[in-house]
Amino acid sequence: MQSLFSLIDNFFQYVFGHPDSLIFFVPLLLLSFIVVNRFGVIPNKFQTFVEVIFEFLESQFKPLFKEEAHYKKWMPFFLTIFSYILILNMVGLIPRLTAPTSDIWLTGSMAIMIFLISFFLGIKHNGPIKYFILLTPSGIPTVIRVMMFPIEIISMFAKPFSLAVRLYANMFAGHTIVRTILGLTEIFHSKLILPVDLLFVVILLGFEVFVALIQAFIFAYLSAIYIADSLYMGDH
Amino acid sequence: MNMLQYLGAAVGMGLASLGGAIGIGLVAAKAIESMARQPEQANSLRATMFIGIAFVEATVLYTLVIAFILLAK
Repeated sequence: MQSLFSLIDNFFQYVFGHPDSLIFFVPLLLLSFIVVNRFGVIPNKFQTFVEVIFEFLESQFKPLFKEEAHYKKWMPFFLTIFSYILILNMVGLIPRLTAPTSDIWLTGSMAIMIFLISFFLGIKHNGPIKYFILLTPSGIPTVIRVMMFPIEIISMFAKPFSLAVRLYANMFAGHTIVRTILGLTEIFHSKLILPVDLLFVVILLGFEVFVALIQAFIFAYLSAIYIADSLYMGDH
Repeated sequence: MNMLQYLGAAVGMGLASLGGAIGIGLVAAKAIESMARQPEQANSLRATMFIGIAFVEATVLYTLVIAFILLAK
């Protein structure tokens, strides 16, 4: 009973007590509506930049979906995930702020969302029993398929776990390494190490920009792979 | 108990970094070799290389999470 109450309390504390992710994402979303309204047929420099990013994403996501209708239906979802995680990651580089994605609750809840979408999509498309039968590939003797079944169940649970921990660990580790390097003056008990220290921190923060971009793209790409995998389960 | 936790975190992190460094080296080596074979595909190969490196690095970072849990107890 006690743990149920703490679970519900955690839920409300997360939804109503962590405005960080909404504070950073919603104004940029509204700003993007205003900016995109001014995009014309002849692009200026900013529009070209956005179109380069979009064309790269399209070239990566389009081969996953076999039908144009599926691609058109699911692409805005993956673009939203990509831009949301990208903005939340980049917030971690501003001096006094911490990235909301360095919180296992946020990454875990996004990974659980992707898992539930792919799971129920597969069940809706194939029916519950056939979904579990199709987990193991066809064209293999039945005995080996029965042996492979526990491994497939474990991998089904490992996928959202790895998705959550990959994003969380990358953001948390970058932040922690910067804090540790900045604390080297305490360990060496002298302030002379500061110039080398700050140079190293600047290089690390540059690397952090890169990691933020890549981790956002990898989260969106892997979630697209899992969802496309569920959509086209029996069709190999 | 403290000693064992610190030891576990340090040794685990060292072994994970070993595996990760070898893995990233293999990915980058194959990418450079393919870029030498087909220079006109270099941009596409570079993008794929970064994606591969991110996957290998994620496996190393799983161990970092365990190390943090051990250190925080």
